[in-house]
Amino acid sequence: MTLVSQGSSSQKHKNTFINLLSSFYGILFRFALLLVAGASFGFILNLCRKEPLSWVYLDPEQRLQQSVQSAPTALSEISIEELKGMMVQKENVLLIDARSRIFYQAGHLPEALNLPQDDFERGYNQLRDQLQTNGGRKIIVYCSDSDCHDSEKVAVRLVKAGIGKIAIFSGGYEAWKDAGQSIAKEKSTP
Amino acid sequence: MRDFSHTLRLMLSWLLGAIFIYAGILKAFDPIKFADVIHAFRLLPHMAITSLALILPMVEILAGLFLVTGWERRLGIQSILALTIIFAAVILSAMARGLHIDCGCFGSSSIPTHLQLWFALARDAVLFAVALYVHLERAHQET
Repeated sequence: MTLVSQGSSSQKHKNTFINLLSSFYGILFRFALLLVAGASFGFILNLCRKEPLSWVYLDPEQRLQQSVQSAPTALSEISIEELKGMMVQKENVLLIDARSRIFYQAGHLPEALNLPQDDFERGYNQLRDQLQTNGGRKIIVYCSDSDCHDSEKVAVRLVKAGIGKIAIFSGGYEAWKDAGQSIAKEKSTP
Repeated sequence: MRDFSHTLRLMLSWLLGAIFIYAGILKAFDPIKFADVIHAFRLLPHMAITSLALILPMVEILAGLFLVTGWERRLGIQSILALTIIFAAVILSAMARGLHIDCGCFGSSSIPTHLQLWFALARDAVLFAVALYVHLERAHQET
């Protein structure tokens, strides 16, 4: 009798274990199906997008570099010496300060106009006429220093807006100031 | 009493489902932004970020739909329980590494950066508690 009872108890435990295992695998299987369905919908939706997400993720900096490289007009870069030369020779250039308005007001390159990256649409609308009818002037965009990317972002957006002949002064405001060049304040704030 | 708990469970299921559908749609509409959010957590290699940014919103939407429609409701609630546990682990890992980032769970947030992960963790805990209640209540009513 005891043996029969022990045998039945062990069978019961075995059944419970098998049920648990099958239910665990059942759950895993259903999760896997859900993932496959999610992946299918996600990838199909991505293929239908106008600008699909690239299969290997590109961080914001890499995306910016990519758009700079693929911009219809190649962007050039100028050094502080080149810019100083242009200013001395009074070359026909239009300087654009891509920093926020508050930094622009505190000090900027002489004759520079403010087109902040963080308020591009408003700034662009205000400067549209000067940018579009610049008479072939070269546009030079700068921001704080070589570590900031606002100048590149603004330059790319200007290129996309159809404004050509754009160069980036990568040293930016800090390089200009450190070189002992003159600084203007509170001028031409749009 | 049984009717009340059944109604409450049903309503919470719908609410939870609607929240997850909403969260999934927000992410699905702006996958680049969501990929940037995943990247900010610094947990996955670039190869895996795009896949997760495309799959996770769809899984959220499907799990939410299961809860709202009642078809495969059990799978829906189990998925949401699993997702909330994974989200909590990811948020805690970011907090442990001192990251001050937006969790990106429901699009952009206006909460100060240093409080965003705490807020996200609290919200995740509430969602987990609701999902657990629905799951346990359902199991209780089935027995």
